[in-house]
Amino acid sequence: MAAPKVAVVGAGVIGLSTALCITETCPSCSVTVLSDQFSPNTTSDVAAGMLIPHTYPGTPINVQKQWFKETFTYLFAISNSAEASEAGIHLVSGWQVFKTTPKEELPFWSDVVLGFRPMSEAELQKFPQHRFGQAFTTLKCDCPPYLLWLEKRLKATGVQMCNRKVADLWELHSEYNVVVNCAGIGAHQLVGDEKLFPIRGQVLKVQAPWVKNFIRDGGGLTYIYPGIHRVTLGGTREKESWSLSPDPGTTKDIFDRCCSLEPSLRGAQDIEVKVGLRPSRRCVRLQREVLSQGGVKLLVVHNYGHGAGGFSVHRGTAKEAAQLVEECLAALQGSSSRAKL
Amino acid sequence: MRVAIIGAGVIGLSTALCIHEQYHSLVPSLELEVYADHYTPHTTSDGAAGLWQPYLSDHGNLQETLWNKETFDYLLGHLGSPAAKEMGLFLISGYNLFTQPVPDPSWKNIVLGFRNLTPKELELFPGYSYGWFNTALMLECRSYLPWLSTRLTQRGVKFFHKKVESFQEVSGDGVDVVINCTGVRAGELQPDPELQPGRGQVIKVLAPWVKHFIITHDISSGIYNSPYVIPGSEFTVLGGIYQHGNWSQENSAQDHKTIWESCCRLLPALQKAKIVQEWSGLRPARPRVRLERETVRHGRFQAEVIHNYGHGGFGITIHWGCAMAAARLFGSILQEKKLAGPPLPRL
Repeated sequence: MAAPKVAVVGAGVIGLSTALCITETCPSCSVTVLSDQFSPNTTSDVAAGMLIPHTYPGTPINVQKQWFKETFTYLFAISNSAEASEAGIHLVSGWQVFKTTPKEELPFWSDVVLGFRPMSEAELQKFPQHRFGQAFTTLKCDCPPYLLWLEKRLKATGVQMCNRKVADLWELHSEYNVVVNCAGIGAHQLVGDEKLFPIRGQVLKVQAPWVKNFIRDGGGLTYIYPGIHRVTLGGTREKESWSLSPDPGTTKDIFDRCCSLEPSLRGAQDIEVKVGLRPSRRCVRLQREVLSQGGVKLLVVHNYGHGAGGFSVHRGTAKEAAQLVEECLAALQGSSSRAKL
Repeated sequence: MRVAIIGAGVIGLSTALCIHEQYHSLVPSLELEVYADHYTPHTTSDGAAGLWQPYLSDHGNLQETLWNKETFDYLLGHLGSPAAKEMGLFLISGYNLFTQPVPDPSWKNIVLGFRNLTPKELELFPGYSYGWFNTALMLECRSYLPWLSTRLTQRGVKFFHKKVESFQEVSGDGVDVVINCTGVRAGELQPDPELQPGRGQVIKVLAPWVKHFIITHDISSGIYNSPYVIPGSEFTVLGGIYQHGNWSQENSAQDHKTIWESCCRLLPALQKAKIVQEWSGLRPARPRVRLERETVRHGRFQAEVIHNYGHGGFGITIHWGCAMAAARLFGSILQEKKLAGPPLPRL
């Protein structure tokens, strides 16, 4: 087979990192990223990019932990290199605080992040409404920098970026050997996945450079995540809402909730409001599929449905997707050899 | 009653505020005057990054440990207030790194969440095998000193731009008490061989991705002679110079090289940081802080002087505890002059 052609649909954190992994496992592959949105207009650009995993009810915990560990290790190395600032990766410490003691005292990822431990009484005094807390250090992927850095690395290895809306995967079957579906929330329409639904999140990105620690209310609804230039204040979790328009009432509510956790935020400047639709699913759809139409086959690898946890597991799922692409190509190789006989 | 404060760094201004807060209602005639040749942003305090952290060892100086704690608790109490941003006050977490195990510091229970570093965390810092993590406070003087000045001005305190050459110059004529907060140049008012400059140099860079302070320690080269990185609200301060007895306030190219190379080795990400400014200053180093009363006589002239200087590299860390102690000394002077009742309970 001539240099295999792989199309990656989607240019958010999943699409770009998956494309990168494919170039790593299959250097001879010709990879093209196709998307109607690129940074700074992807769902990933709205997210804070904190490495704090979301738990998928439908995926075994050991798999999720492996994905997270792989992602954390990968980013940890970048954060400690000269590329850190360009890639937008940095360490950040902070607190997860609970109004009532959580039923799960130790989350599955507590030994992957750094220095995880319960908060002391003195630390909890800063949060009078909260009775219990955990302190740890984790990583943050700032977007757009991280996505732009991925794009730069992809272009350096010859990957093409194509601004194109793919309405149907079959559009690609004549040009590509394998299609990788990293369309995120777009998969709802693209492949008609009814199990995929949006969970709308509104956030504020503000200037408050004195905020150096993250604070997250244990429920995950209210959070303060300091990035390189802006602090992300969140948030909302509105199931089945497809609206991308910022809601002013919500803005005030988010701001008030965050200020009650961190009063100094009252002095925050230059508030930007953003909305993203988390591509939510019981489990990440990470699998091969062979589509058939009139005797023609289309090899697809799905990698979407990461919901609130995209950044936390992106590298782990990207590597697994690249593996699946390898398997597809091996199968193609096998069948083309058979065809030659 | 007129009181002259000499010095407008963090020590002078906070002492003035503390005295005014505690005594202005007791002594209606109380008038405070600040005299200094340098005001913010040109004081030694302005050059400091502003991290609250005492030296590793208190050398048995329990008094200073208590003043440090008083300062931390006082600042912590202000964290949630609307003034915090204007004061330049915020929480910050970070690392202290060592090449060998060391005993816990006297301040381990003052800061928040003090703990040893895990092996995985130490992987971030090759060459260091032991360390601490804790959450402390930043108090940036380029904000704090203006904030103090505003509070003082609101209270009617007057400021004079003047280099004071002697205690006599500012006393007499109704000024009965002089507060000596002259820092490293206190020796010009009254010789003090124990007071020496601890010269430091820093490079200020733009590195907003750095969210933690990192202080390394080299027991052999001594405090502050090992690289440190302290992120502020706008700039990140890189340092690691301490030259005892060096009065030069010129930036040294050699020191620049030392700081830059050692900090970039510590944090490779800094290589891409943009350098914005370079500064050198003189820490007012002394074996212990001089915080005491003295009756100074010169011919007919006599004044009560309260000395409050010699805070080395921990002025910001200890300032409020010292201001309160100086205010107590002031209170005892008032009692002697029968100008006030017993000292106020501590605020």
